Amino acid sequence: MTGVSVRDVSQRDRRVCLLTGAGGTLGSAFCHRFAGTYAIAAVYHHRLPGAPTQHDRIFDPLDPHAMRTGDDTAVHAFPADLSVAGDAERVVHEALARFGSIDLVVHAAAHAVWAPILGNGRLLASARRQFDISVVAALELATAVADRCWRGREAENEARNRNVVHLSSSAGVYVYPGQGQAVYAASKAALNTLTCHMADELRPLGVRVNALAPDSFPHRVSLDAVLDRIRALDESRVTGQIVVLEEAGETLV
Amino acid sequence: MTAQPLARSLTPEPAASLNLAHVLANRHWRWRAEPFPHVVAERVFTDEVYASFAHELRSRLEGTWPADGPGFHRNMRGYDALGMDFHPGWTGPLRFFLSRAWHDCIAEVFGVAASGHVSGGLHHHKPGSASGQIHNDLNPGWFAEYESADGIMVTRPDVCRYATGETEPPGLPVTEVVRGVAVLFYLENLSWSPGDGGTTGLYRGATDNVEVPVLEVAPRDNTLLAFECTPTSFHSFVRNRRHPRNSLIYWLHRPKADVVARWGEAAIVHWSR
Repeated sequence: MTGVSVRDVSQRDRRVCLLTGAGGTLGSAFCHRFAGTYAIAAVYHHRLPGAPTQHDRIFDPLDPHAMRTGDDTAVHAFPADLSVAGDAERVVHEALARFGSIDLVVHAAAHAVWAPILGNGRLLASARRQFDISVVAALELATAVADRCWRGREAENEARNRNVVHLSSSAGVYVYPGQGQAVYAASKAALNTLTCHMADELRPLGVRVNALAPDSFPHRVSLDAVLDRIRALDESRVTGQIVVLEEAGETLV
Repeated sequence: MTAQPLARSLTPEPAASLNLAHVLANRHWRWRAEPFPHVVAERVFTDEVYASFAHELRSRLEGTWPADGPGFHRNMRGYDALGMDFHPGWTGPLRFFLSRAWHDCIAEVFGVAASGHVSGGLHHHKPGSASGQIHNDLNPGWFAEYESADGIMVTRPDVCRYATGETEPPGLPVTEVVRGVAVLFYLENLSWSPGDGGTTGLYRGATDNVEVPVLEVAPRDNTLLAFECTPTSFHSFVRNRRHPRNSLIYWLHRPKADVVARWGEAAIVHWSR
């Protein structure tokens, strides 16, 4: 019997990743690809992560009443609405209760509404939520993780190369007219600026902070390219960088 | 009119029944509770078996498979996909899905007292096919009775309309049952990648936005999605943007009385004429 994929890294050796937006296209792909690389605390809202979770049960179809256990490839999924005050802190608390520490924060959650500024109230109605999830939640997550896990552990943070990756967008760097991206782009621009300040203020803790700003994926930039770059940022030693990822390659801002 | 049994000449041979332990590559199937209970398994069959399935589908799409019944055609109300239905005279490796062994395995996985009645076929969604409507598959199905050595009764579209039980010639003995378990098996979607669409969306309710499923099952080759058909097994095809989406659909059935006892007569979703 071949069986499902067997990952080469055991649970105890894996870095712990707190991932938001785990039910989205990128988040699900991240879970699918890196569940064997990281122990993933996968924070989702409406959509479930498209990867095995702790709630799944494994069984043999030829002996379905004898459930198997011990699935190292499952992510630990937490439902949350990061626009609600306190939810970011709660998921950090739950992730730490489950895994004991957090080495990497990937903030990929977003509420993206593209609509013209004038003509209807849709954009205005969505604006606060877009900023809350992109920017305020990023701040809340980092603050909560720093307070509960990173503060006072500078040497450990350095040794484990702890860091934050914000999933931004090239729309936060360039203006694409006529796309209805006003608020979306503004929220990503704010996230980029927050990233730079956060990198500066978390540097004394030995924690790095960077943002990845890809062009539209998976259509103009492949999903694999985005995942590769998140992984590369985690493995690097850089901080305070906004990496713009486009079809033609990448640039640093 | 007195019901007459089908002529023996219409009686098909039983489907080839393979030893499942020899054809299954993955015996770690995954049971998931949300948004409704379902099973997902990847790399289901051995490479050799899967390749034979894929070859048959490819040949049928290309029109090079020896004719054993109606080929691909538009046969699904509300969908712009092409399909072809299983029938007792089906030839080729995919006849495996009509076997007693497969039927009993799926029935046992879900604890469904299945009746031996089987329907399904192949679906082909061209690139740009529209999303379907959210539905639960708790539908009735009518089967013409015929002699079957292994007790598996496959739909006979040539003599009995699955949706109504009307027969040609009229008056043939038929049985009404209800779909018990749905199985979707994805194959020949070689270039699929996230963002391509063509997924099967799972939902919490019939009025959810079809484009925003609670969970999407990717149509990766040699992957299976299965669920018991219940009043809440809401699912739909989600539009495919760039590549064709191919799948095999399989339903086993259960006695209508079981469904009525469990959920009531009103839970059965009858076909619109």
